[in-house]
Amino acid sequence: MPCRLTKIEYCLPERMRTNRDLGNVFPDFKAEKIEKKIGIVSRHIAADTETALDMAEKVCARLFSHYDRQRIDYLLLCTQSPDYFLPTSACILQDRLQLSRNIGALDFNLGCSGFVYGLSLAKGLIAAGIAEHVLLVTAETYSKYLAPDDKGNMSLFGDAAAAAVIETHDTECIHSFSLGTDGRGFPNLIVANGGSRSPKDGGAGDFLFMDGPEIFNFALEALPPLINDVLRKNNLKKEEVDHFIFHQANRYMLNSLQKLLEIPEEKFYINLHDTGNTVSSTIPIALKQAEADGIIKPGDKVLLAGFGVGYSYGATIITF
Amino acid sequence: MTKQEFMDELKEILEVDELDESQKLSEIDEFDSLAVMSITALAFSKCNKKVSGDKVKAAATACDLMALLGIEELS
Repeated sequence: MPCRLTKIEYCLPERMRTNRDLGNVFPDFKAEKIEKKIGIVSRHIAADTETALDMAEKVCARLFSHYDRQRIDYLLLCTQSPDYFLPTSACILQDRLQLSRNIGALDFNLGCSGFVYGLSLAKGLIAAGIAEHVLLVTAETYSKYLAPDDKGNMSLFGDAAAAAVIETHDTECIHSFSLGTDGRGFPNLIVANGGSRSPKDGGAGDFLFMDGPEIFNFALEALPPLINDVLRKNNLKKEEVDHFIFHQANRYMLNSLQKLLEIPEEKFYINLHDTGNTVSSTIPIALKQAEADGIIKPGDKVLLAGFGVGYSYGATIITF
Repeated sequence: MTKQEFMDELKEILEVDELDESQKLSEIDEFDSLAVMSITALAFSKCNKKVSGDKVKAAATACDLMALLGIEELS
């Protein structure tokens, strides 16, 4: 059964962390350089008692102001910041949203590639006849994983949630996928302690660690074959794609990828100015913002590519 | 990539007008994490070489960086 991405909403927590705020805390923080090189001026940060699940509930409520929640027959929640180790946060969300109890619901633990993988799961569920109206939610609070003196990652990451509906449609609008996984990269973006492998010990391992140059190397190496593969699988040439929306990691990496892949600037969307890197929500936020700005229109062919923590990466082409 | 081309790129990354290849990089304010990322990108795009951020950070001078990237003494 063909399907289409029909609705997107996103929400950002109220609290802001601007470059000026970071400059007040870290005297050697170079606000102008950060803005110029990585393209981020401010980020939204969840309140102390606000979790990814709380943001997920808010964004879904926003979506349901113009969509009947009782149509949803499957809930996918992408998060690496669950409320509890167990139970599944999606089960709690089903109840808080008062969705039908006759639905499937599950969490999946992915970061930057999460939205693309979520689309693949939704398409699979619909194609298999298991669901007809899938609610895909991405929600993340990486801010809560950062060490108090980690100005580098504080300048990059913001919190957010996004919700999308993927449902049956007359024609196929979510096309073929190219997916990749390389677990050799797991140590390069990690919160090492607090899971089953290693308990919290009050040290650096309790917080998020990211090796930026290694992640960059991974992206430069993995993206060209990924993009070539997804184009091949969809029988499309690069020139036939209307827009390219990549995971909005930082402007420097995006500019480097755009040049490496020889994508025309006018087709390559970059916008993380006041959200920062919101992990699995960057792609749905970019789609919604591009639509609101009149850049993307119904019928446009959009190539989506997510890549990062894991390493996990994936791309697909949608007809918007 | 030639030595001169590399030095020109490195001067731009480090935002300096002059740079001696034996000058200590640790004495340059702009030799920070963003510079390290820029140098790894340069290595990949211009020298077709993957270098780790740790090795770039450990380089004491531009000369060390050129050795890391395999840039020879040619003009």
